[in-house]
Amino acid sequence: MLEMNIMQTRELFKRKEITAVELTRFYLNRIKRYDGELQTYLRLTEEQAIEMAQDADRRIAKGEDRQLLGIPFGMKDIFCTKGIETTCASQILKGFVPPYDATVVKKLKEEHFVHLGKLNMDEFAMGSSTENSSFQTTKNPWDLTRIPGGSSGGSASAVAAGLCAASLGTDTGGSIRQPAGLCGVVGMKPTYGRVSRYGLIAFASSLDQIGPITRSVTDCAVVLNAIAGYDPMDSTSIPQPVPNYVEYLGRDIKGMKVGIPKEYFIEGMEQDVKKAMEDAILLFEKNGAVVVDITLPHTEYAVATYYIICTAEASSNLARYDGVKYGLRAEGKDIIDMYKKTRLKGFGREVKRRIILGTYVLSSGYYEAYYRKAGKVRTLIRRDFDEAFQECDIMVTPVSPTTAFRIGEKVEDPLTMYLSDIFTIPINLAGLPAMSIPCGFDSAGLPIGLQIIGRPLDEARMLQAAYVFETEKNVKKIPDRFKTDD
Amino acid sequence: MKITREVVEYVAHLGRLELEPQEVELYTLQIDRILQYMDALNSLDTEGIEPTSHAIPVVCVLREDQVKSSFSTDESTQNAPERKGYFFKVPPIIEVGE
Repeated sequence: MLEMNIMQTRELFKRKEITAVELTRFYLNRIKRYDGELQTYLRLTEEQAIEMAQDADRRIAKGEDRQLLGIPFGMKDIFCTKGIETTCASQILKGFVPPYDATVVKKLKEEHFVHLGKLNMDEFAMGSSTENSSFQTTKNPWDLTRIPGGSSGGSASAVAAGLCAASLGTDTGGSIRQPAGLCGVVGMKPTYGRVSRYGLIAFASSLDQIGPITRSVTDCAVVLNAIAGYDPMDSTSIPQPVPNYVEYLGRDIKGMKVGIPKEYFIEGMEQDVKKAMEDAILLFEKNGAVVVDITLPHTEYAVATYYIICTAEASSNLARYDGVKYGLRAEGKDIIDMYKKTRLKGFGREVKRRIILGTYVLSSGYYEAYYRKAGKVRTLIRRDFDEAFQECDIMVTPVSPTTAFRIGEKVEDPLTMYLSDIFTIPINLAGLPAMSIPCGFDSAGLPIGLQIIGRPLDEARMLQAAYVFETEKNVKKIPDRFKTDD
Repeated sequence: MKITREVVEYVAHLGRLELEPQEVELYTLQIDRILQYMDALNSLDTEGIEPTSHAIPVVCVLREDQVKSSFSTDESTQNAPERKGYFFKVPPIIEVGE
């Protein structure tokens, strides 16, 4: 079952070889069996899942056919789900029950998907290891002593271990691609504005984007079909028609120009990662792609630029958590004291660090030197990509310079943690689409991710190339420990 | 040092955060290091470059103002830690004499 993609699963539904209820129970049983050690789910919505699956079975029996009909998903706990607690893995939102669904949730419901539960993440999506969750520490299914990446670490780990068929994550500086890469699954951050952010709890609004985390490129295309498109509820969503992404799977890549940015092959990259990249580039060449050397000269400034912009936006977005409208409230002698005590109690260490940094770079006297300067450098980074895409159709780079690190290894050192996203951050600054696909393992058996970057709104071409790569390379998907299919 | 304890305490106040003394200590050291790292941007000449606030050009989206149903006051206040009727209840904002 775990090796089947969503399209094959729907065929099984049609041929009555399995029902949506059976498939849902299959995943719920696996969660009960394995999630004690993996800690991916913050809460299960078991009863609702069975009801949704029963409804899907009735629809299947009537001959209804939708792309995600009866497919069991786990959702990152950052999307508002009507009637279901949504916490962003923060104490400050404990007990918050949204009165509405995020647009992506609404769209999945229109497909009659099955909702298994809410998945762990770094608090407010701030982190690269999921260690900043204020509830639990999620493990990497390939090695339980290591982090799954972050911030969508619960989603990536659950997909990799087969605790859901697919998941949605969010990506502000790499939070879909990096955990997908470290857990050996497929993750895509679409073009900024391709997927509506309505009902997504905001971290950095000019960078946040929602995307699929799946076990195959086909599933990535199917899920993107369902969630992409203009939404009047999000003023930054792009009013462009959505192609059928599945149609691009299976097309060859002869003559496709694959750009290799030299700045992404830096010192400090692990040897096994470097080797995997060289093999990947050869594979694209073997399949008829033309490899082109390109340059993105401002790459080294991306991390600094990103942490000025994202913390500034976060400090403003997180001002709403004040103990008045929802979530936690601590007692205080007056309203200001109540705000301060609520936020002391409700926010974890990384969130507070970023609020302070963001408030500082926006404060009077520093605004020009930091925030405005970062905006200008962001323009230079964008221009780098515009120019490089004159010479190529897609770009190929590693997702991360290393494979998954150990739990606790970087948690005391924020700057080192920030630098682990060096290859994913520039893409968010430029608003481009990019995806992570599995491309092999290091000598310790840990997954290595390959990043494919595309032009704005050119997700179809990325998927086309990713599908060729996946088919040719055939990388192992489920870790042995989680393989039992009963 | 780019930043001192006092600055961290002041910025935390602006951000409405109370910090424990050991947090002030820790954040002063860490944020100082991060700001030094960020100084790398100063080596770039950005004279005449327009800053980017949104990667994809965003136009101001307008629509007709129409009356539509929205959340009820009950739904809007259902998550409040404290409420009175349909109002959010908060601690005193203005002091009422001694």
